Amino acid sequence: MFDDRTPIYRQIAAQVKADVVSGALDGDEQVMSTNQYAAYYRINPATVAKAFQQLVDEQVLYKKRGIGMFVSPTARDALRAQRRETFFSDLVDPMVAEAEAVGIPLDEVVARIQRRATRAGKEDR
Amino acid sequence: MSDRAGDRWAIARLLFATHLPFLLLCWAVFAAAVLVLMFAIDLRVSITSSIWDPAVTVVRWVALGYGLYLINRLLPVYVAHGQTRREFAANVAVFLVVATAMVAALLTLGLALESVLYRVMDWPHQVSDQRLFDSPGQYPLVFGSYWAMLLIWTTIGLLLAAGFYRSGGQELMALLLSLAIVVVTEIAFGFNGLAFLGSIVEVGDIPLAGTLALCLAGLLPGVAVTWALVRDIPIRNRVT
Amino acid sequence: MTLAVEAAGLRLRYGDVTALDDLSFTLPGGRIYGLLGRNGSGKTSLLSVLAGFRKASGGRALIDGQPVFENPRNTRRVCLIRETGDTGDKDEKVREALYTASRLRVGWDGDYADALIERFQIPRGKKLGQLSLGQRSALGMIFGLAARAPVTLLDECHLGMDAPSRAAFSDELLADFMAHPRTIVISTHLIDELSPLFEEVLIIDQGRLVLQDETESLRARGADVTGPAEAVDRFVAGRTVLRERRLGRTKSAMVYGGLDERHRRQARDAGLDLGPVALQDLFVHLTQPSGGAR
Repeated sequence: MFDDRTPIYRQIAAQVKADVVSGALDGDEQVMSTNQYAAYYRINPATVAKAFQQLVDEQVLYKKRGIGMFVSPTARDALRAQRRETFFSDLVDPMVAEAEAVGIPLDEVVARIQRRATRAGKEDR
Repeated sequence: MSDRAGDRWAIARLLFATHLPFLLLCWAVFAAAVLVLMFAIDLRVSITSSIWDPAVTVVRWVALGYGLYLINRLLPVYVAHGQTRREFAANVAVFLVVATAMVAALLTLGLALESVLYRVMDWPHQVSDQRLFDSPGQYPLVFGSYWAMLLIWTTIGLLLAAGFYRSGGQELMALLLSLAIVVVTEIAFGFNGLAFLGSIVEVGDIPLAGTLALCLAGLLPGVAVTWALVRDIPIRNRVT
Repeated sequence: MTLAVEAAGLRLRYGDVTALDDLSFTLPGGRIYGLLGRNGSGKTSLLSVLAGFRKASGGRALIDGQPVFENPRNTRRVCLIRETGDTGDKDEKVREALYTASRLRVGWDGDYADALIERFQIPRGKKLGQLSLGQRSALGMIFGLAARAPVTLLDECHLGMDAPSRAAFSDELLADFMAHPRTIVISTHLIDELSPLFEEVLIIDQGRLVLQDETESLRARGADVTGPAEAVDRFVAGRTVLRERRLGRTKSAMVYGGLDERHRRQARDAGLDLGPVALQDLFVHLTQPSGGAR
């Protein structure tokens, strides 16, 4: 369900994008119809339509007239690229600021990251 | 959904379908009750006059109650279901004219049956001399009296209910008008129970045309004022 | 069929109480609207006038461009259910009330009504006055839905319903709305719970229209600005502030409208935290007795 403060259409759009990035929704896969979405989450279908329209404008979805809404095949890569752009400004910089605020030396942060990388590398093999 | 206003006579059809059978049943129960009463009286005193006719005059209170019920209970529901007040008024008017005629016919039939019974039982079949008809055999006059009684008293019920539906000063007016109608028509028809009027007002023999005029003089203002009150009556939310 | 509903300068007076004061708006058809207002704000009066239950003292209530009051074509098109009433006479049995509706209501879907009666387990043989509050509320909603009126007005019908019933009826309402599009206006105090159903909301206060807007736009217009008091004051200077709260040196101000991406970045740069505001909170502060922000 959705939090009752942020506009719902934005939450829907964010969720669809998250599903696309995670692979839960594949390229050229059909998404639920506005009515199905509305019934499932108990929200007005116009709100769903607004979210879908935004996703179409952002080229995450495309419409096949008379059939429904589909995930754009390029959406996953495009979204991941977007998130890569904001990764440092939105996630890393605030993390660094927080480490400084609570008094964690940055070497510790780096060391932990490296441990994680090594473990992930071992699992790959 | 169709664009037309739909059936303008839906209310009348509904009332004919649901209320008429019920009224027929009520008459049967009434007849049975009067029969029982008759034999109960016979056990104590000898019967010298009609019992049915006085019993019928009591029915005017039922008619009053029915008028109250139509405005208090049915009008709000029917308007809530999409009918207009004007349609309600027209439908109910038609229904009442027919239904009261039907009931009056049944009540006249009852008097005729009483005649038969009295002949068998060798009881004299007399009616009060204040009545419009001199003897129970004058069936057109009997029917006319009964029909007028039902129409007038139902109208009074409608009038009172409409007058008291919302506060705003018109309750007193409705009450006074109702009383005036009662006085005027009681004089004309001698409905019994208000026989004291006969001692206050010496009316003598009113010709039939005069009776008819009095009847209309009672009915028409009653109907007119009731409509004036109903035509924009607010439908309040009476939580069930 | 979707029909436009219009209020044009509506006025309603009871004696010396003004319930509706020059109220005007247009509702293009085919949407679910939320009608929000405090107790006594005029919601029920407005809906009563729109349905032709009351005559306005001034102005006009129109459906499809024609007046409603005493106009059979339009009165057939409206169904107003107020709280737990307007379904029938309290001495009637449920099945009798259903029968009356089926005879008088144009467009009534008896099978749908029966299905809902089954689903919500309303006893058909009981008199309306003997039903529990929850059952009466449910019956009201059932009538509102089964009437399939092009203009369906539901006034506080959720009163007396428990949470599971409300959820079930919201599902029913949505499903039937999607299957049979029409204009639905829901007046309620359960703002946060029901607002996801509304495409647009109207807020009325003291008989006047405060605002009419898309629910989502309204939601986006509120923002809670939190941070050091001086920074908050600097940021909100000149803006519409609905409410301020202080805790020590931290201050939180509810701002209404006018924040675009640039302003949001400014706020973040100033060390301020921007959070969304629930519709219910916005409503409370847009309709304060002192007048609030308009």
